[in-house]
Amino acid sequence: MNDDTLITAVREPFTGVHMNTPVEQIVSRGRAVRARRRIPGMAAAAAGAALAVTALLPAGHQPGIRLAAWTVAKQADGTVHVTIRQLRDPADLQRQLRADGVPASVTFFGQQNPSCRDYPAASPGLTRLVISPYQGDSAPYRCGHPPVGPAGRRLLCTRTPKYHTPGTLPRRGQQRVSMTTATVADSILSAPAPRGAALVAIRHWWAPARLGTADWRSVLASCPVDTSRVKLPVFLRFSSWPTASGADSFCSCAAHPFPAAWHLRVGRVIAFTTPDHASAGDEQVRLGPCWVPPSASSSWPSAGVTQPAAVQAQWANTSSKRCRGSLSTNHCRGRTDGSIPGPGRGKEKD
Amino acid sequence: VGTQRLDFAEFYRGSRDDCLRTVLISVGDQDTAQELVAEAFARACASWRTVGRHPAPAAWVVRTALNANISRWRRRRREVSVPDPGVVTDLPAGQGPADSLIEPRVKAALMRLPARQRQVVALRLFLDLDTGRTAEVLGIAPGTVTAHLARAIAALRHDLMPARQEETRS
Repeated sequence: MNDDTLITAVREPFTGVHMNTPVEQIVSRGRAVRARRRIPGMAAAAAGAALAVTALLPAGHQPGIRLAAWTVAKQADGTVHVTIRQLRDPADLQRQLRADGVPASVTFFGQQNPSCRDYPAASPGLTRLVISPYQGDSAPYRCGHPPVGPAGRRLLCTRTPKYHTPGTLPRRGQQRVSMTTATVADSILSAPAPRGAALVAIRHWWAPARLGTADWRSVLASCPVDTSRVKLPVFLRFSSWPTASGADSFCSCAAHPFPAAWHLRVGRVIAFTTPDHASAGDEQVRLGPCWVPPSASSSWPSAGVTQPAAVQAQWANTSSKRCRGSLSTNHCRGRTDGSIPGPGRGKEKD
Repeated sequence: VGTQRLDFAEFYRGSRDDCLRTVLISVGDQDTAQELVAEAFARACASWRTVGRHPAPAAWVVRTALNANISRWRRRRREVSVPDPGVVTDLPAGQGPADSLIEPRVKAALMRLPARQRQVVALRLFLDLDTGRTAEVLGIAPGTVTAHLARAIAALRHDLMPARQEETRS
């Protein structure tokens, strides 16, 4: 076989590879690049100094106020835009979000949120679940479902393929943000036999990210989920994300009827799956369910939060296994209530 | 400005796929390649007055994308990454990422080549650059380009041809 045949054999498989970024997006980004180059050095330095003075001071949530670490701005249409520039003060951010009517629990990587408690995933009172990227040894992050649970209730999970070293911030003052939200619709609506539940993981790259209720709804609108049963957002989780991309997040769904088994792809991250789709070895999963007691927030649903003794014992047993493998000894030692560890991170600092 | 933008749009539409394929061969991951090429085109747009006069603007874009990849690697070398267990394995057939469309054997054969040989192959085969221009883009001597290409072709023939010949026989 001659060189031409070989070259054809090499080129042929790539004919299906196409660049799908619209030219308008490229031109828009090009304009931004050009504008950035035109900023005079002195002006940039002055702006930097001004920012430095006001930096690191998260403040109130009045609409329109620009904050150094993060901004919560409630829009006229009721949506709440969150802009994260630094992963600081999650408890205060959570408080501001709730003040704006967003029942959010915010956790930054590497920082504990004092108002967020670990909670057994299998409890009937579970309405929120966040699953964090696993970080540590070579084992990939896995997901699963609780060993027991009320009939019809679904606990969903996501897999996060890549993650970012905690504490490492991107350059240019931009914060890459990922958000994960989970909701079990019937728990919130106190209605039996839920149509299904939703768990969304959205990665907005090339932050500052602006995510609000409208964003969640727009994501779900293109997917076969009964959005009328889903209250969004329920759980927000902010963390650094490794992939920088000028592209907006997008969504595409596999053609599986919910709730049998279906996927939502946000970017290149699979964000939806169901317990039916959980993989073998789920007992090794590192789930990070988080329960915020009703007293911590007036807007938080307070549906049954007690857990059956059997469930508690079961999770207590599982907990000890997990702690040995994934969390620090101190973290395990301090756990006496039989709850499972918090968001699984292999290198968590207490 | 309007003409300038039109020129860039035409250039983008005409060369984006070739640039993407060229960068894809070099970096091996389609999502990454797409991000890099998009960023490179954005920079080309920002400097279109200069880039538009370049004898091979597509080569400029590819070089910029490859440089961006190096910068990206430098920024992230301390970050930890794990294999992505869910994206491909959990998706039903036909829902995988676009680069799964590429024949795995061809992709594997290309990935086995050293990075420089891969770049030479990509620039010569997908951008149709001549030896001189390829050498210019990669910053190496034309003779080195020829040598890299010859070795790459030999390696690809060794990897791909036996299987193809067996297919033909059967």
